[in-house]
Amino acid sequence: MPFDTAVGSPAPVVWDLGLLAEPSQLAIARRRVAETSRQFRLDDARTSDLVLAVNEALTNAMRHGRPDRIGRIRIKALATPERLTFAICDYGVFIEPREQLDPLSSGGRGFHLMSQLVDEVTVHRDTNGTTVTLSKERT
Amino acid sequence: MTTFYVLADDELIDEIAVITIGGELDYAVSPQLRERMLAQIAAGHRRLLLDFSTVTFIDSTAIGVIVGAVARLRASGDGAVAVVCGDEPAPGAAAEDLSSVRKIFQIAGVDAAVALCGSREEALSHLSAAG
Repeated sequence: MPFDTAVGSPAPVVWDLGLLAEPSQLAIARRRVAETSRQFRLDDARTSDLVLAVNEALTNAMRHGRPDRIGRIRIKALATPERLTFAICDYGVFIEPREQLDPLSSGGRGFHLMSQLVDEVTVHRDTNGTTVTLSKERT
Repeated sequence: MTTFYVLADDELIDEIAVITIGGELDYAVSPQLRERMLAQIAAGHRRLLLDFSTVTFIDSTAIGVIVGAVARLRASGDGAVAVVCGDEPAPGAAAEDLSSVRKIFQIAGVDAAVALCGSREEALSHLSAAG
């Protein structure tokens, strides 16, 4: 699975979910990410930043990526004592451009938002798909 | 569980089209925002007020809709969009939705394209002057 090869980290997995690639699922994912972030003792502001960043990655995967054969993308939570990471995986190879776009463009802001909201963003793409990881330090 | 949002009937105040949405503005809801904004523009209204004072979450797709509408107005003459958003999270916002609308507009780098106002009165005043 692209997810496992992409992350390749010893960080323990907190949970690993298949999420239907439908917009109505975003609210469910946000609540789950918020719950995990609070359990990790992130404060409210850092929690909301992480929730929005994950929402953006999931939205990108739904809009531009490709789900598995039964219509799911994957989201996984991993935690070390210092760092909480969410990894979002789809089976397409689209990467949103990182460059600054026209301020009046209607799209292309997701990646910029993610990079502003979390401590680290990584993108791994191979023939199996695309994995975006979003990490926030505890403090 | 699905996205929670509230969409009120549009109003017209001194030729300013007022669109009120509350709750969570994400990819599931932004098409409805787009439809409402484009309908007002198609009806000839060039000044739009978005009352987001009870919005608890906003993402880049909703911001893209708003900025796209601003671009459409500018491409065909004058026009202005003002967004009502407090500095603080909306009352009743869940802990996971505490990011203020204003903050997200600023991070997205589009706070210059729309007027971010603290109240509906301020937004109406801004748009009246723009007209």
